[in-house]
Amino acid sequence: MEIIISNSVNKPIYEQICTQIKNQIISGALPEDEALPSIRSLAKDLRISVITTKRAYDELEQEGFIYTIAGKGCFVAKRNTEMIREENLKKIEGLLEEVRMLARSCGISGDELADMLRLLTEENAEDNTHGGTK
Amino acid sequence: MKNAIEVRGLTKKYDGFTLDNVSFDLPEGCIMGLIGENGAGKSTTIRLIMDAIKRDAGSVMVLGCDNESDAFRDIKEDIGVVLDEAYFPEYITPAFADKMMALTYKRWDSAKYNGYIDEFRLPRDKQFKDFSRGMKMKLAIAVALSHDPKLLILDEATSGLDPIIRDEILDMFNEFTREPDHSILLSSHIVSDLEKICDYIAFIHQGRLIFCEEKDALLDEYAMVKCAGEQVDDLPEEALIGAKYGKYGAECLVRRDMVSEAFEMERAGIEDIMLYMVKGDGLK
Amino acid sequence: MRALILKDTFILKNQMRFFMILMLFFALMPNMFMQGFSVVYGALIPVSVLAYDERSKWNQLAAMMPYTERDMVVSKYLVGLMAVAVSSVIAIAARMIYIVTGLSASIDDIGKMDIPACLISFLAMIGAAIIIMSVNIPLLIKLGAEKGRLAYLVITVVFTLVLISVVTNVGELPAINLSVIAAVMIVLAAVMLPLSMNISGKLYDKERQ
Repeated sequence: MEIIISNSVNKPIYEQICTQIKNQIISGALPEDEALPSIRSLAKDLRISVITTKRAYDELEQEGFIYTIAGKGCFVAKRNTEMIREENLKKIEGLLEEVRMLARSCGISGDELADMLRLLTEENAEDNTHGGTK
Repeated sequence: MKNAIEVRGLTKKYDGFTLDNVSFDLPEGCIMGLIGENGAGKSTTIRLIMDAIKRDAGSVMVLGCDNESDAFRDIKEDIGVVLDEAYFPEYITPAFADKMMALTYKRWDSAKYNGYIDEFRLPRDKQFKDFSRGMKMKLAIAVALSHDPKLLILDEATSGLDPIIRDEILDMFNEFTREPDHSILLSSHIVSDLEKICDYIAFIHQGRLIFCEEKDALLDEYAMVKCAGEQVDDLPEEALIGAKYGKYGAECLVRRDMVSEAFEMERAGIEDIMLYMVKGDGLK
Repeated sequence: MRALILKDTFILKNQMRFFMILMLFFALMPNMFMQGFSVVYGALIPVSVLAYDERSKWNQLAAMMPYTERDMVVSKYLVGLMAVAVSSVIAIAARMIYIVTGLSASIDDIGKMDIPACLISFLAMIGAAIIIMSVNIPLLIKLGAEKGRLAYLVITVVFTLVLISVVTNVGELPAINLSVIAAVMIVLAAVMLPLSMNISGKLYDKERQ
């Protein structure tokens, strides 16, 4: 398992851990039922606070990505498409929120935004029909 | 979760200084950093926690035991201590300290101690009074780690050490807390050290506890904004903790989630948070 | 407690080696005055030990180690008592040899003293040593090693001089008076020692401010 923590101001550390573990679970790099390092050892190895790793694991468990067996530790939960879709939806929402705030700060209205999105979608319509990404 | 240390309403009055009504908990398995300027009350707090000086008011519970009870003497077996200016008598040598500590602590591990002495490259038969400050600290740390303690109490344990050694020692403290029942209370004015390994930060200033928070929550909550002097007024009032105006611009500490992303923000360090809370406009 | 005594005897071996040797030297001299001095000298050991502790603020660190307050206070007395015991044994043994070999008759001014009288005078001096220690240690705890130094020096020197001159001039006094002096000393010592330890304990506690 690979975790890289960056010191960016925008992403709290627990979020970074969450995201990276999630991505590895979704991509299959972390297979089902694989044991995750304990909250404590992960914290010590990354030299970060145990509170943060605990928070990350709690969130992962809440979202169904991992499960805990008392006394044994945390394990990767079964990966399913619903979970992946849910995750991507959240990402889209987050990005849209960023876009909205940016737009507001330079005075672009909701309609203008919708137009921009439609243009973009149409421009890349070919990719959409072929179902691939550039 | 159990608490390694519970402090409630701790108060101590001296001429010209009062430690006033300090309360905080150190959860078991965590590392708490006590920060504050010299004379803020960090050492006093530590001495009160260990009952080395008598408190005027409040209660202190260490590892489940009231520190004024008779049972506390046995609890000291589980506590490793490194103090700022109080040491072994100057004529002691590391070799002698080994013998002396073997008679002091029930679970003294001579092999472990000598391992640290070698690792720190301390001369076994040199007298304490000929040691540099760094060497004195290393010896004290070696002693503190060698009797199987559950709690480490460290008063300025890293000051006087060069950065490489400090890093090694912080690593040791980090490793110490791999066990879930091992905790550390560590005071320092070198905030960068605390920022590396602490789970909680308690900030003491002029005898009062300004805050005691999870370190990562603190770092997520605040951010630094660097902008032109006039732009400071564009920041929402509740978001601004403090601002420093310079010749070419201003620097402010803000609450991150109350400030729009249009402002360029940088991560605030614990030291920034300390400074702005004390000196900035908003001391809450 | 053993750790504390070990620590204090370590000083004696290392820092105060010269004085220890001097003490030994005096104890072996065929001169009652010097021998008496070596016995009483033991009472001053705790003072030096306390001074060393104070210099490195050891008490602050020790307060956080599993020693009881009783340990901290009693160990100082024990070190003094041990020193007194050692020099007494050596001095008495030496004196016995001198008397038996007749050496004392020629060198000493009280060479005419017989064994019982000698033993009684030594008892008096041991008593004196304990009394001095009982007075000094609480003083030092209260005043600290620096301020207390002058006080203890004066007390000790005066007391010792007076006592030892009395004892060495005992040739002029009838033997029974010597016994009375010795008995008084021992009784005083037996009473003052525990009292002193008690007071020291309380003072030490108050010092924790």
